[in-house]
Amino acid sequence: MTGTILFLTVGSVFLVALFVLLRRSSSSERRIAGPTQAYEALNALQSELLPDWLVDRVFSDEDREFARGEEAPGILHLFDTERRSVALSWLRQTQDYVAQLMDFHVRFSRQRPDLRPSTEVKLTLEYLQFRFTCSLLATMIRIVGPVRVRTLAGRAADMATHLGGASEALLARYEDVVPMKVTQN
Amino acid sequence: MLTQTIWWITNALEAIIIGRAAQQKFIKTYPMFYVYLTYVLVESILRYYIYVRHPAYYGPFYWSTQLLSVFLGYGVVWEIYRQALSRYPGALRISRNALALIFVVVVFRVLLSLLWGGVSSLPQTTAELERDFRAVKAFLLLSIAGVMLYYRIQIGRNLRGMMVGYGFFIGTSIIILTLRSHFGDQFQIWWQYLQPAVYVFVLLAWCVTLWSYQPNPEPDVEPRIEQDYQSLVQATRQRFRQIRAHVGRTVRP
Repeated sequence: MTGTILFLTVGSVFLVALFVLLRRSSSSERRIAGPTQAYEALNALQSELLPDWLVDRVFSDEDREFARGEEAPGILHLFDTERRSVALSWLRQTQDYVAQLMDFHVRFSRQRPDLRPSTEVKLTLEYLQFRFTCSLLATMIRIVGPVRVRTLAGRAADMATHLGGASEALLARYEDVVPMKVTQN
Repeated sequence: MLTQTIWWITNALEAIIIGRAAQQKFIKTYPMFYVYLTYVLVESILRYYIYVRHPAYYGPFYWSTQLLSVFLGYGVVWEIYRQALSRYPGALRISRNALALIFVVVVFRVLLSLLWGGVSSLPQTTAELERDFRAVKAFLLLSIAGVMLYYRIQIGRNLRGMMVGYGFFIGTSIIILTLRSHFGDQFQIWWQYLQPAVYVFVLLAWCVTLWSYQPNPEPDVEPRIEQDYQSLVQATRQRFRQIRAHVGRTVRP
């Protein structure tokens, strides 16, 4: 009986999963046009979104303490609303740039015969972990506000920095390929 | 009467698909797929001959040839794998490792359950073996589809049709064979209609999607000189930015 249920489940899940995968693979949008956009995404991440001071500033309670000290009515509430939207915007942009870099990564590495499966698997798991952390962070920002999730934001920023570093290494390899092709032409 | 009509329809559809590919000269592009389809067609005609002339041998003949078609079906999976990933050496490498691992693990599990469960009658054992090996194919196909999704690999209409059709056939076969194995001869009446009806649907899908040659789209990361130049500019900017940051850190007390 267990075997029957197992195989009925395997068959049904397989049918659904295959159609979902094929449907999604046919509609997967290209997020990035080429290495130029990858460099832009990397620059934006490294110089605009991930510097420690910026992450500290967005998620610190320093400004909130200042707003609390002000006597104007409703200023704290206004501050919380604004800071929440800033934090969510930071998170969205960081996620978007990392997604663009990952898109470039898979499009470039899929054609490299020297690709190392273990590195790919590791990077994919790191990216999934990053996505999960970002989802969790977004929920937490909405529920408790950005000030109380400083540690989690730092973790997401560290992961994004690491993934950005991996893309930087990949882009460096891309450069090695490109001049060679130019001189060949 | 109905089963015989379905039988004639499936044969006709198989002949049309093979004939059309031969006429359009793309039969050699998907050799394993057409070898499989030709085998199924020949097997079907031979079965009919045995059924009419030597009905006593029909049962053993059916189950033994059925197992061979299951193994030839791996050729279709291989064809899909080769066609979808051959122009993507990186993705090919990843999926080769994943597929080898899945194949070994699932075949090992199937053989283990076979040894554990013992051997009963020929139809029962063959049906279970067929179901198990189709489950292996399901895992392999799913892995290929997963790799395609992850590496954003686009495929043409022909290959998509092959995958959808064969995937649907495998999925439904696993379910039908499981029910056949569980209910035994009670399920036979349903079995003789369900399995061919599913196959007719699959053949119709193949007929539509393999009517003319529709190759896979070319990989889209072919570096163009202009793009390459832009990337060099960006790389230089990136390095300058790093140097500036480094110098800034060194100079600041």
